[in-house]
Amino acid sequence: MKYKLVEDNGFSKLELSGDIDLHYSPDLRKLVLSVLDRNVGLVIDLFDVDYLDSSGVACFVEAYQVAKKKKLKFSMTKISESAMQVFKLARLDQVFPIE
Amino acid sequence: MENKSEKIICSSYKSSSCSLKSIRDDFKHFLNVNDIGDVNAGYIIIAVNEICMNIIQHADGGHYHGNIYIEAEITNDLLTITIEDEAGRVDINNLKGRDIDKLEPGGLGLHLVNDVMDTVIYSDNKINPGNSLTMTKKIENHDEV
Repeated sequence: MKYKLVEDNGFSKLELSGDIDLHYSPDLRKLVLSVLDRNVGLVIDLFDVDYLDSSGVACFVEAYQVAKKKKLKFSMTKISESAMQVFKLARLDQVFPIE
Repeated sequence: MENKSEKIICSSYKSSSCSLKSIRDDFKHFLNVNDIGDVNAGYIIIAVNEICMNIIQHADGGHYHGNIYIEAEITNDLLTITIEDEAGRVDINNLKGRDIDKLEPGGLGLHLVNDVMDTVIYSDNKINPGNSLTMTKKIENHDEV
């Protein structure tokens, strides 16, 4: 997994790429929670994500809940086909705000 | 599909998150040579990854550092996958995924596996140590689940 974090007009845009699995999800969790800790909204770009497992999904669910509690912007954008497969199986494609 | 199969024999991986990428890549190769389309292959790889991840995360209380053994074959359009470990016996009654309608961070893996595969059976192996799981999926249309 690789990432690029860009500050953009009051929120952070996190561009993720590669495989998001158990090997990387602990780092991803720290990363997304650190952004929300700064009370900054978060947009996650999944265009270049080749694989997403349930540990990665768990990071997004936790981040979504934290953002909702803090009333911060949280959304997904450009979701790759493989990531969307998992979102649909988990029925999260209708839960997460998707731009 | 013709009655052909490239059986993976004695594929073993260290129980570590570092192994997951290799497991997925090897399984993708197996599915490709058996003419399983990308969409179906993607779903099946999700199931295999989730089972292996569960072993890595939870076997022996998260301290299992032995091997994960994977065997797979396709016979008459039926994909059979067996995944085994040598960890302490798991009480299958405790293997429950979370309610899919509850939005919680964890407990999603088993739900994904049960959704993707037709059958998922935890064997009661009384001879060898460890746990064994066999799951099957009928491959009817090569690019549909």
